Amino acid sequence: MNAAKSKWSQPLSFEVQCWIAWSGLFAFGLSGILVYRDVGAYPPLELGAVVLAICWAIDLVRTGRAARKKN
Amino acid sequence: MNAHRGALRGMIGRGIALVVLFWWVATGLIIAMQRAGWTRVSALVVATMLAVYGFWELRSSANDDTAVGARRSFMGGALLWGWVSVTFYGGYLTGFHVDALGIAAPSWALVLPAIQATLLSDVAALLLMGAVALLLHGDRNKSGLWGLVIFWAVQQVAKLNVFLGVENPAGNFLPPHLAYLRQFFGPLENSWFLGVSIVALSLATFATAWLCRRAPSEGKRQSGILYATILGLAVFEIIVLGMTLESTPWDSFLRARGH
Repeated sequence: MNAAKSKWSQPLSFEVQCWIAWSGLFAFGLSGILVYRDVGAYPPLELGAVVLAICWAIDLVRTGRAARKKN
Repeated sequence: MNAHRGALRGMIGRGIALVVLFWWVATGLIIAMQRAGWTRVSALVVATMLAVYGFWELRSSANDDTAVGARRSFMGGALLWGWVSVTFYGGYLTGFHVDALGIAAPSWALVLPAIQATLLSDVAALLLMGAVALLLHGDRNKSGLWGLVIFWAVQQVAKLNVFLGVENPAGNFLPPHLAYLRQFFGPLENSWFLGVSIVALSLATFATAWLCRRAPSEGKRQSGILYATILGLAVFEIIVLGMTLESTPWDSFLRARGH
């Protein structure tokens, strides 16, 4: 055991937290596929979530890249 | 010497507690969350978020060869396995719905349709294993990867047992949208493969537990304890498949599901 040993309580960076939240939104959006398979039309709420998730992903990638360049 | 034994006892206790708790709670929640459409979607959303967190745990503990590092990595792999299970039981990633034309299992004619019936879930699990292998390539701590591989492998053994025939295939665990899988259940009597599975998995459990005592680092010893615990639980599950039981550890979760 050394001083730099691992801890469960290591804080998640803001970027990781955003990607975790993003994955939940994207999964909700993709869950509309099941409805589409049964009904033949994509549910509007889930479709909105997919569009929002795509926009948010672009923003997350761009801000993440900019932050890494700055460091 | 006493301090070493104390540390080993701590590793055994924490390792077994982590695996048993994950196995019981995750299985129970996955069953209970099939209650309604919105609970299925919620399970998918939460499991996906936890899977991304799992990737982060795997990456951030990749070069940590301590006992805590091994448990963190294993938990990361277990969260990915949880995602595979949620997408399967929720009906999101299952396979190709094939009607077996009234042929009774086990039969060679049913092998291909049975594989197809859960193909997407198995491909997703294999892709995740590949992604984790790439993520941890050249790193010292691969507990999460091997945990994921063992979870998937013992599930294949259980599936093969159900296909060849067991006394208690636990078909009541399947939600209505997976009821079509019952056509691949073998006869309600134990096949020769059940005994072979129990012996092979028991040997693997004892060999893993024995070998981990001589592992070169604390992290490797902890990983061995975690793998031995999954294998031990797999032995228990296969034994349960072979006997009719009045109750299971997940009855309260089944009641919460409501059907």
